[in-house]
This record gives sequence, structure tokens and C-alpha cells, in this order.
Amino acid sequence: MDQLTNLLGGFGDVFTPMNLLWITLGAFLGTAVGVLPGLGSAMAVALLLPMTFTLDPLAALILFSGVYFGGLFGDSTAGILMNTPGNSTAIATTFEGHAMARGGRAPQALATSAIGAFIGGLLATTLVVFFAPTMADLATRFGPGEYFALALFAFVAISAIVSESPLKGLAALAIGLALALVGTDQSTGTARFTFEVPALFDGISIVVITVAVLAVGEVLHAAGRVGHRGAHELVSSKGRPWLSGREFRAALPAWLRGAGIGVPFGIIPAGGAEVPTFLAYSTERQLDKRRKKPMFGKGAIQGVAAPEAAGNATAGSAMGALLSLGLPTSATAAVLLAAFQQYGMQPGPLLFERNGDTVWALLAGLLLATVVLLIINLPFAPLWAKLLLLPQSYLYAGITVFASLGVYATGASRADLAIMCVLGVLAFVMRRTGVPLAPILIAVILGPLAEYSLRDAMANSGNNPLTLVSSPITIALYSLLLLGLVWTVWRRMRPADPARPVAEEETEAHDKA
Amino acid sequence: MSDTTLDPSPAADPPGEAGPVRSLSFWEGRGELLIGAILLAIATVLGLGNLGMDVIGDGGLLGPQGFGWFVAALATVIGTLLIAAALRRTPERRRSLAAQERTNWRAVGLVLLGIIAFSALIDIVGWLIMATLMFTAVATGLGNRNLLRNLTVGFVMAAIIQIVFSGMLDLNLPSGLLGGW
Repeated sequence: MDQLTNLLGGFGDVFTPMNLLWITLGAFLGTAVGVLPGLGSAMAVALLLPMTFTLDPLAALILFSGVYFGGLFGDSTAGILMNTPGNSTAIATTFEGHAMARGGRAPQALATSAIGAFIGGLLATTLVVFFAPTMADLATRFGPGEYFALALFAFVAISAIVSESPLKGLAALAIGLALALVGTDQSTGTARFTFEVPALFDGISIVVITVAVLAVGEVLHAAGRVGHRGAHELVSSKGRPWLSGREFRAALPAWLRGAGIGVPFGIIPAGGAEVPTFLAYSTERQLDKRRKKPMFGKGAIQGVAAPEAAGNATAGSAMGALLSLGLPTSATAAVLLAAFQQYGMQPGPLLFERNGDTVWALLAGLLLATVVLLIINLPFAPLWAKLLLLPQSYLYAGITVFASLGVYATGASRADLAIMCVLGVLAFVMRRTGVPLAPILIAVILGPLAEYSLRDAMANSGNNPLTLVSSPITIALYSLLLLGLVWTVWRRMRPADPARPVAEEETEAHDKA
Repeated sequence: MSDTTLDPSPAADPPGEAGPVRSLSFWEGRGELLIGAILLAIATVLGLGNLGMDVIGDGGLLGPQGFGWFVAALATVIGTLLIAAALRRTPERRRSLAAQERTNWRAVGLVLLGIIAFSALIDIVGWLIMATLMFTAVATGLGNRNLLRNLTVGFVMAAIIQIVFSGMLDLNLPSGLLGGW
């Protein structure tokens, strides 16, 4: 049991007062951005990136992971109490959660969601501890052909299979790939698409892109909706936050089923936790129909428990895919990958060998973070809900100041700020038209990997294209891709699925997790 | 939310909107036209960049340009399809989309103005003043009409950030006009 020894070593590294402080800070920040509608963990990590240059890598990474998990703890609070989900990942929880709150069971709904998030995160992280090293081992045999297949898989999955409109997903992908091309070519040293502007020689910084797309675009989008937003009433959540034995027994199987649904989705680049949370929701709904007294629509505890567990389970296994394969499967994971690169670490098979100490400490930190999150969320969810009373205008003004500060801090250059303005407007136009943003981030991060592995594969094989499908792993990946495309076409030919309720007008169907 | 009492539609919604016979302008319900145009512009830039590229050494089969051509082709195809889809849309569908696309342009403009002014003037005017102004522009744009309070909150925030970053993180923010004081 190498993993247990390593994990214990990781706990040893993490148990310093400073690191515990970072974990707690990450948990608080994450819960806060999760609770506040419009803010997501991807944006929060992007805003924190430039400010953590001076921290040591482990401290920054456990801070970010706390934010990632915390965002999924907090996101259901606004949905349950106000019927306005903080994030697309909480939409599925909102239907039954808000029904419970209206029925006077708001504290129970909040507790169910917090425990669900805890169970999902804990189970998935435990699985990562045991299986990530094996996966990394497998991935050490990856050559350029395999990496190209992996990147292509991620591109098609995030833009065409998962997104609402494949055309719009591919549009975002193309924009992201184009942004990734700017800068000096790594293998020949040729300056590409820099148009003699010195600021572009090193390419467009990932920090600038993420901050512009996620934060500036979001602020502009919020401004565009001023005057069109409906007021929402905050349901009070006084009363015992504890679940009765009967409630607990009803929720427990749903938590476990939700976690089971969520785990596999973390490894698939499906753009985060939105798909698995809906899948968990509709599974519970189907099961509920067979009961003697169907509760769905009236505030079924299972409808809160399963999606929440699924959401955090997805985040947990997404960390596994990120650490062992270097594959970001959601927008937040993409930003986390940028964070690793900022510290000169490359997530992927070699990470466990080269930066083993950091990785195991990070995994130990994740387990601790889920416990901290449960402690600060379970009894205090009603207090967190007070954040919803914060004036939106100051919130967004603050985000803008931090975004500009972050971009300025990366290079103290006005060119970066100019790029931020342009990309912010671009992100605003995209959101207004319903074009998803996650494919941009995935394309910017994985674009160079796809390009250079393709060129390496060609160079290594004397330009024989068959080398791309010459190993079992590549064949398996391309077959999966084909299956996904067939499923997408089949799903679109079918009439709309009545099991997926129409989302609230206020919850834009785009991923921030 | 005492502060953000969003006054009913401070901006550009034409009053006659309720009437069902209002005719659509060419752009309404066709937001994809803009995305399509952006994609075609990107494809053009990539193509021109590739043609004028000063390639160093031998890059192999694809070289530094191959991927650029691929992305340019992808952007052209997707851009054309998006534009075609937007042009062929039925008026009913466009009407429902136009309702979703409704945008408070005055608010967007004010926020954007604040961000652009900050980006252009930070080195000259300095962090403290520009961050305060940007904060005020965004807060006002988002419907908070209490100008004096917006300025105060923005100034306090900018000052705290300056102290924390210069003092603790060794990150120097430009003091600009206030530098000589």
C-alpha cells in the first residue's frame, strides 16, 4: 500500500499552521464565491492566480483546490433559498431544494446538500488517492499520438457533445485555438501571428485570457442585464439544521448513487458538473415515481442529495484526471492547470515522480478541505446566505478592480490590459449569443499540446498518418469519440427530453464550475 | 439589497415593445452574425499571418503554419454556418431570441468605459485614482446611483489593495499623479 504511506507523508507536509490556514481560507473563499450568483470557482481561481505569485506552490495549490471544492459546497445555497442557483452546477439541486425551502424545510435542504457535497468529494478524492498513481503509470506509456488523441477527444467532447449547440461550441473552440497560436513557435522559434508587437512574442498569457473571459465578460454581462432582472425573495432558514433519522436514511442511498454517477464524469471533458448533476437528478426522479408516495415536486430530499453528491464527486475525480493525465475536464480544472504551469510543474504522468511530495500533500489537503468545508457549511449555511444581501453593484465593481489588478500584476504592461479589454468584450458578445466559454479555456490550455504532439508524431513516423491510430489506447479513444458523436446525433434527432425541466431564465446554461 | 434597487429599465428599451406588430430590425434575434463575423476575421488574420510568416529552419510536414491553416479553415466553416443559420431564422424564432438578447447598452458602455480608461491611464494617473474611478463606473453602471458612496467605497478598496500589495507582497502599483506627494 504505497499510496497510504505517501498519503501519510502528505498529511505530514500539510499539517503546518500556515498550510491549515490556506486550506481554511480556500474553503471560506470557495463557499463565498459558490453562494454568490454570477461568481464561479473558475473565476475565483483566475483572480487569485496573479496574487499568489509569491506563495510557495503547495500553499497556492491547496488554496485553489479549497476554492474549487468550496464553490460546489456553496452553489446550492442561493438556489435553495432564492430559487436562483449560484452556478449552472446547482440548477439540478434547485428544483427540489427550493420546494423543500418553501415547505419550511430550508435548513434540512441546506444540510442535505452540504453532507452530499462532503460525501461526493470525500469518496471521489479517496478513489483518486488509490487510482491516480496507477493511471499515471499507464499514462507514462503515452506517446505523441496518444496525447494528440486525448486533446482531440477533449476538444470534441467539450464543444460538440456536451454543449447546447455544437456549432456555438466549435465557434468558441476555434477562438481559443487561435488565441493559443499567438507567440513564438516552440519547435522552430518562428514568431507566429505577433505582427511585430513585442508584447505578443511570448504569447497571450493564460492568466490574462482567463481573467478577461471569466471575470470581465461576466461583469459586462451583468451590466447588460441591469433593469431586466427579476427580484427574488429570500426564504428564511431558521430552525434545526440537523436531519432526522428518517431523513438521513432517505438521503443516504441518494448521496451514494449521486457520487457513483459523478465520479466517472470527472475524467470525461464534459465541461464540469452540470451534466452529472442533471443525470443524478433524473435518476432519483425515475426511482421516486416507483415509490408509493412520490415526493418529487413537493420537496424530495433525494432530489437535493444526489445532484450535490454528484457535483463534488465530479470535482474530485476531475482532480485525478488533471494530476495523473494532465487532462483538464472543466473550466476550473483548466485554470488549475495554468496554476501548476505557473509554478513550473506539468500535471501529467511525470508529476507523481518529479513533484511527488507536492502532489501527495495536495491530495491530503483536499481530504482536509472537504472536512473543513463540511464544518463551515453544515451548521452555518444560513449565515452564508447573508452574503446574498451584499449589493451586486459593489460585488461586480470589486471583481473588476481585482481583475484589472491581477492582469496588471502579471506583467505591469498596458498591452496585457488592452488584451483584457478586447477579450472581455469578446466574452460579453459570446455570452449574449449563448456561446459557451469553457471551450475557449480548454482550447487555450490544450491547443499547444495538440499541435506539438501532432507535429512530433508526424516527425517520429516519417509523416505516416497511420501512426495516429497505431496503439490500443489511441484506437480506444477514437472509438469513444465516435460513440459520443453518434450519441449526440441520435439525441438531437429525438424530441426534447421531458425529464430535463426548463431552467430558470436567470440561470444561463453555461459552465462556471 | 437596499443599494441595488434596480430602477426600472434605465436604458434603451423602446416603449412600444408590448405591441406585437413591431417589426424587427435586421440585427435583432441574429446575435450569431457578430460571432460569425469575428470568426471570419480570425480566419483572415490567421491566413495573412501564415502567408507573411518568416519561417525559421525546417519545421517538418506541418511546420509552424500547418495548425494555423487548420484553425483558419475551422473558423471559416463554423463562421459561415453560423451566419447562414442566423439569416435563415424565422421571424417568430427571432422575436423570442431578441427578447433574450435585450441588453442595457448604457450600463455596458459605462462599465466598459471605466475599464478602458483604467487600462489606458493607469501608468500616468496612477492606481489609486484610476481604480477608484473604475470602481465607481462599474458600481454606477450596475444601477447604484449613490455616486458619493460609490467613490468612497472604491477609494477605500483601492487604498487597502495598494497598502497590502506594496507593503506585504512587494508588488508596486504605480502612484502616478500622486507620486510627488
